[in-house]
Amino acid sequence: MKNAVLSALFGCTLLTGCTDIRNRLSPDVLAVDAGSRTQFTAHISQDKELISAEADSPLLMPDALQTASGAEISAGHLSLLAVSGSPCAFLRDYVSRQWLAPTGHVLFVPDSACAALSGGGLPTAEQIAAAVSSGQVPCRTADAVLGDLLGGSGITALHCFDGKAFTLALADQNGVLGMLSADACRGLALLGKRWDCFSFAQTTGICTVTAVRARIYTGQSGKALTFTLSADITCRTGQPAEAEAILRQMLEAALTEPAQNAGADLLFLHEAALRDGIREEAGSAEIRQQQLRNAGYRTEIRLKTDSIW
Amino acid sequence: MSKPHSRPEAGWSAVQTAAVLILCRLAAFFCAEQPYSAAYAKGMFTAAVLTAGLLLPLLIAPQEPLPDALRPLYRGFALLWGSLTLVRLYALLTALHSPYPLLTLFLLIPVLLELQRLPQAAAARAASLLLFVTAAAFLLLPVSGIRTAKPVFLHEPDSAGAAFLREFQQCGELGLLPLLRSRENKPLAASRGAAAWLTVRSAVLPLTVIFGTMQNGRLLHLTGNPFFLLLARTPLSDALRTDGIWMLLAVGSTVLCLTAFLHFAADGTGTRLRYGIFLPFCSFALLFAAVPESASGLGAAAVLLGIGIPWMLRLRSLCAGLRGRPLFPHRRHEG
Repeated sequence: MKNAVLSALFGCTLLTGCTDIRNRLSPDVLAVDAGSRTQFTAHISQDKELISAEADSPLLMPDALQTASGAEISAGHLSLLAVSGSPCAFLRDYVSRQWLAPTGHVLFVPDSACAALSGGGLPTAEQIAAAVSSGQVPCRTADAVLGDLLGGSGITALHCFDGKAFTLALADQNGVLGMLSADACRGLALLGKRWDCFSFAQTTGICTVTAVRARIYTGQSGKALTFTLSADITCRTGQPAEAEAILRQMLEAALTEPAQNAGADLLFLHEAALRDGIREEAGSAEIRQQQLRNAGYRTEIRLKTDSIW
Repeated sequence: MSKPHSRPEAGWSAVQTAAVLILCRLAAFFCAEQPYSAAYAKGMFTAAVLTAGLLLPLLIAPQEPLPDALRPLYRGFALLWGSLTLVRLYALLTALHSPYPLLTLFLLIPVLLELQRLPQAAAARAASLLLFVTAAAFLLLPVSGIRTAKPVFLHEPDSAGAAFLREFQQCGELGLLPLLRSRENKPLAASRGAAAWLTVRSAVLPLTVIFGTMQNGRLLHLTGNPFFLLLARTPLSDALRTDGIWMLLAVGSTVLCLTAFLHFAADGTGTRLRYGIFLPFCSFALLFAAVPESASGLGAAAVLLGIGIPWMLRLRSLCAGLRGRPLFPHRRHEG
C-alpha cells in the first residue's frame, strides 16, 4: 500500500512535465525576414506544411505562429534557422530560450528567407551538413556563431547560399558586413577539421587531403601582434608543388580575410594569444577588431604526400 | 522508517554510502550555474584534494563517538541543506524549461513525506542503482564530444580562488559525514564509501569541468546551466539523444539528495517530529529563495561539522589517551 501511494505521488510529480501534444506543431525549419516588421515562415515537421505569420519582433515568433496556425508551437526542434536582414540581432535570445539548439544550423539568405523557403529554394540542414562534410565550408552552427559574437571580436561568419554554392557571410549585431571568398571558406573548413573528405581540383587530377595538424602561434613586438599559422598537411596528389600552392592560398585567405580585412576572430586568435602568454588589454569588441586588423599574419605549410600504394 | 527503539538496520554497504554521498554532490553539480573554465576546475580540484587530505586521517582511524549534545547541530544542518537543495531544484527545473516547476515542487513535498516512512536502506539501494546509470552516462560524454573539444579554451582567465570557495558551498554532504559514520555498524564500509566520494570530487568532477570548458568555449558568456549547455552541444547522435536521460538523472539525484538530508534531519525522532520538520524545511526554502545570501554560511558550516568537529574530537581523545584518563567520565544510565 505504501509503495502504491508513493508510486502514485511520484507519477503525479513526473506528469507535471507534460503538456497536451495533440494540438502541438513542431517547426523544423524557420525562415525569418527581420526588418521593421518581422515575417516568419515555418516548415512543420509533422505534416510538411508551411505556416506564415508576421509580428513586430522576432521574439514573438511562437505567438505569431500560434495565432496563424491555431496550434501550440513547440519551438525547440528547429534544425535550420534561415534569416535575412540582421541575422545576429536575436540569435542569442533564440538560443537562450531553447528555441534553437546550439547545434542547429543558421543560414543567411541575402534576399528574402521566407520567399526562399516558400519557393523551395532554401537548402536543407542535410545539404549544409553535406557541404561541411565535403570541406566546402566550415561548420558554423548556432553555438559557433554565438560564441564569436559573445566571446570573440563581435563579428561572426554564417553560412550563406548564393543559389549555386555555399559560402560564408561576415556579420555583427547590426547586419551583414560582406562575404568571404571561396578560398577563405575552404581554408576555414580545412582548419575546422569537421570534414570527412577534402579534395580539390588541380591542373591534372585532384588532390585529396588525408590529415591536417595546424596550430596558431602568437608573437608580440611592442603593441603589434603577429599570428603565425603552422600547418602539417598530408595529402594524395600527383603534383605536390601545385597542391601546396593551392593549399597555401586557401590557408592565407582563411587567416587574413576575416581577421585582417574585417576584424573577425574565427580562428580563436584571442585564445591563442592568451595561451602564448600575451596579456590582453581590456577593451571593447571594436578595440579587439582593430587589433586584429593591425596584426601581422604568416603562414607556414609543410606538405607530405601520402602514397596510395 | 523504523521506530526509534526497534532493531537497528543492517547498515549501508560501501557502495551505498558512496552512492548517497556522490549523488548529493552531483545534485549540486547539475544545479550549478557558474560557467566552466580551467580555473574553475583548478579551484574545484584544490578544494577536493585539501578536503581529502584533512579527512583521510579521520577515515583511517576509528570513528570517535559523536556526543549526543552535538547531534541536534548536525540534524539542523541537514534540514537547512535540504531546504537549500529544494531551492536549487526549483532553479534547475526553471533552467530546463519545465512547464510547471512550482507545481512539481508542490507535489514533491508529499512524495518526500512518504519517503520518510521508508527505511533509509531503501534510499541507499536506490542511490546505488542511480549511481551506476549516472556513471555509464558520464562515460558516454567524452565519446560524443571528443571531436569538437578545443584545448585552446583552457586559457580563458577566471578566478580559481572563487571556484575553491564555491566548491565548499556545493558540498553539503561533507557536514553529514560524521553523522553517517557514527550511526553505521559497518564503519569500514562508511570509510570506503567516503574515500570513493573523495575520489569522484577530486577527479571526475574537475575532469568534467575541463571537458565542458573545451566544449562550451566562447559560450561561457551565455547565461544558463553550463552542464546542460555541454549536453546540448554533445548529443550522442541525431538519432539517439541522451539529454532526456540526463534530465531524469539530474532531477533524480536531487530528489535523492533531498531524501537523504531529510532522513538525517529526522534521524532518531518519532513519527510526529519526522513529519513536523517539513514546516521549517519549507520555511527555510522560502527564505533561501527570497534572500539567497542567507544561505552563504552553510558552506562554512559544512566544513566545521564535517572536518572541524571530528578533528576536535580526535585530538581530544588523543590528548585523553596521552594523559591516561578515560575518554568519557562514568555516566549514570537513565532508567
